[in-house]
Amino acid sequence: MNQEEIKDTIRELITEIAEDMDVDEESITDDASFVEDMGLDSMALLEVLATMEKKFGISIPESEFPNITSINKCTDTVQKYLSEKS
Amino acid sequence: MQSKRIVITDVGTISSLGTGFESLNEAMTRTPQKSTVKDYDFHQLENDIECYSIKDYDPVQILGKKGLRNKDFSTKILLGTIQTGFEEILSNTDEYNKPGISIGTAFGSIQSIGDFLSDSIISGVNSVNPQLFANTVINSPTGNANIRFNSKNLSSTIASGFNAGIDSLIYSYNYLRKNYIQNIIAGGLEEISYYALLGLLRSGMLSNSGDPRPFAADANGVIMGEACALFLMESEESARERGANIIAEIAGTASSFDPQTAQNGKSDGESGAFAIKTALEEAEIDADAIDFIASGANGNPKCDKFEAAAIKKVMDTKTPVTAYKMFTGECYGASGAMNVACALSDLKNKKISGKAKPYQTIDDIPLVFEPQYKESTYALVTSFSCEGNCSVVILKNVN
Amino acid sequence: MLMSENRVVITGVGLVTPIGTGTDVFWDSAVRGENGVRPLELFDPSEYRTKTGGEVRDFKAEDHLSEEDINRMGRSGQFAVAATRMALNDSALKVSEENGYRIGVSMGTTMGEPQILEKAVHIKYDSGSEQIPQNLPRQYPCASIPANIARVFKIKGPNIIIPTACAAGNYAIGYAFDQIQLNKADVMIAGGSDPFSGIAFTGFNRLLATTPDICRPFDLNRSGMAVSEGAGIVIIERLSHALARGASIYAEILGYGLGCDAYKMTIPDPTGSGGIIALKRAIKNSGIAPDEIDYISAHGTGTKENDKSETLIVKEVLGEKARTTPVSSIKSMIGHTMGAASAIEAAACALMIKNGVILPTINYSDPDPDCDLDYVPNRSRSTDLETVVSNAYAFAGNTSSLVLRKFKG
Repeated sequence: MNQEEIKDTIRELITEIAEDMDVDEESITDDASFVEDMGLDSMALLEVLATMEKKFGISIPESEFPNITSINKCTDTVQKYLSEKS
Repeated sequence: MQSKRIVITDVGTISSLGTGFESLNEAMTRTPQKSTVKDYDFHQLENDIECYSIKDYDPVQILGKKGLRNKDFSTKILLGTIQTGFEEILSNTDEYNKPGISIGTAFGSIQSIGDFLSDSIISGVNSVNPQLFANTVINSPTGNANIRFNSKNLSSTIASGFNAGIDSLIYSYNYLRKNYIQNIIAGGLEEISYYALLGLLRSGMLSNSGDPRPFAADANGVIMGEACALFLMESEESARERGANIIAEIAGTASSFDPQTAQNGKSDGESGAFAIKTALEEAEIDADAIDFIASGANGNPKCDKFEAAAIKKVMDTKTPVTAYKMFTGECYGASGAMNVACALSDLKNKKISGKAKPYQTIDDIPLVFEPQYKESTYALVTSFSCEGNCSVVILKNVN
Repeated sequence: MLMSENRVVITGVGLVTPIGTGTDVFWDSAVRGENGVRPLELFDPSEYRTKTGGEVRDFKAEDHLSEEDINRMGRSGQFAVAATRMALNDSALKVSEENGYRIGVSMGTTMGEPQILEKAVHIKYDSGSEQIPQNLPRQYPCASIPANIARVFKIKGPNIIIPTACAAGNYAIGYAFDQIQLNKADVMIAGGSDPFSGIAFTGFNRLLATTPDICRPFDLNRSGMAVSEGAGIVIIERLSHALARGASIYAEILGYGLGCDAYKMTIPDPTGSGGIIALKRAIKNSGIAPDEIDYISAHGTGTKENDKSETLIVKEVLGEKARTTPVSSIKSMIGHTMGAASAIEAAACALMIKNGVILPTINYSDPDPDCDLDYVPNRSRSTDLETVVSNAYAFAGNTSSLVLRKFKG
């Protein structure tokens, strides 16, 4: 799976979560901060973490939780653990 | 000391009889329509199961898109019922003065609990969605309602099985009589879940003829329904102060338990009779003041026999008995509250409803098969479960 | 002062906990500060990040229930019936034909009998739903817990279960208190019960809310809560009824208060709004002043969020007095017993009042600037207790506080 495909998958999830929270569509960008720009709460971040693990078949250690901050950062994290896996 | 009078000033409901009290009034004049269920997210039933399900309810239309993701159907029914039934009082009060919320349910979030478990079995315990874990506590729909409508006053959930809906009213009645808060949105909620249906199938409680025949001498089981029925409850004084329309007074309540029913299903109805007598005493009326009995009979032979025995011990043998489950199916934790909603509808419309081809009843219970048109003052609502719980509420028409 | 007819007292206690089954065993362990959060043995945690929790290992169902009853109910019901038997014996109360209707049951839980549902769903996956035993489904619903108590002891009064998650015990005891004050009963068997739940363990693990080792409430390095199991039952009784039969009295219940955060499903309101409402109401309903409180039994789960907001709640309501009021969490010893937690804590408060000892918060070493109260660290403390408050909060935002006082005639 290439970087764009990973990013698309994550973007789709974030858009779904953000829409449910009535976040302005324009503030959903690849660099936008989940917490500061979009107002996601810690529960939503835990869902992002869990969904990434499930969708990409990887195990992300708890220490990476602070890096669940934007679509780009998430993509990096997923790539890191995908490459470790292979 | 004179106790506070507790009254009902508003009704909200979503069920197979439609959305809102008006819709329920109207649906009780028609032959009820069944539908079938079979497929669920994680499981499939072997055959179509006939039931009285909520078909025409679109949560997004009533609640908007926001905040519904990750909410289970039970929660969506509850939120929709509150939104459509109690918008006025909720929008006119601040967060510390909004009505408290008390919800009765038998199985609660069992669909969410079972699905969370199924997901953990299929995908692994580390692959479950943590947001869905929040749905696995039985008080999740109630808590979600407190959050959505920003009510900090009270969030209670009552789970006494078949009796939960009526027990939630009794709980709230007692809570209000203690003067703890001003008003409570109280009632019952139950969805038709795969896991509850599976349980009913395995324990042989579902009717195989697909026809619920409450109190029938030859009844063979229940048809499941799903519903939410809620009532705005407050003191008479509070209702008068804010100029609210009083629909009915809760004149008396009582609950008891029958250990014999719980032990082996063989009961002489004494505990149920005790509950009826206690409620009559609280309402300060005699048995013959009751105009009709809104029974909880559902077509489960053991349950119905126990209820018939209790009624016969206390009540005038000619007092008409309704079984609204002819219209709604067995809605478990919502059924007691649905019975109250249907009784309020009958009190309002000056009739006693029924809708079935006449059949022979247990102990010759004078069951209402076709509507009787007459004005009533007192309705006795009973809920006697085969687990042993006996709960009774007396409604008084004050109009 | 309330009229004596309306006064309500605790006359019996029954406990099933990870640091002991039976009131004496529990109390001796708790005074010593025993840690009941250990590597799991009855439940296989190998797939999980957390491998510890609280298990009741000395519970033998056959010591408390007949074989027929053991087969009729799940672990939650077994705990509840066992604790009820202990509490009834402790209060020397005999249930009879005459008083059966004047005794009721009011219980709390989180999800009924989760082990029954787990068993049924596993059978479905392993060998098909037709293999699920016919008598199993009826054992699952919450209602089976108080129904089993009433069935076994032939109790005919009001029977209810209030599943308000981790605050359920306080809700159940509060309702029982009301039932007596409203003259619906003379005696209520009140409490909470929850078995170890794989569903809860999975969920709390996934929320990263479980501690990887031990539970350290209010400590700077607290690392989460510990999923646990147990039951607590108190016999609560109209004072005149207790005096007439010469019952021995642990403590008086003065009142309780409920509220709701209305904030998030799984995170407490950081401003403590619901907890403040509950504590203020409990104080008002009990007719006491905030500075009369001698001790607070905290919800104290050991999560970052709870312990910080609970500290805030105590400071907001008690003001300056908060600094000198001892606050401790027995969850440091027994873990989080969910729907049983506040019932066990209410029973523990009754024992603390009776014995003049405050139970400690164990595993405490580094103070947290956000949690700056006297948490009774590591060692129990002998002192005379008059007025005691027990807090309990829950998933979905439920909040509650219960007020107990040393009984004086």
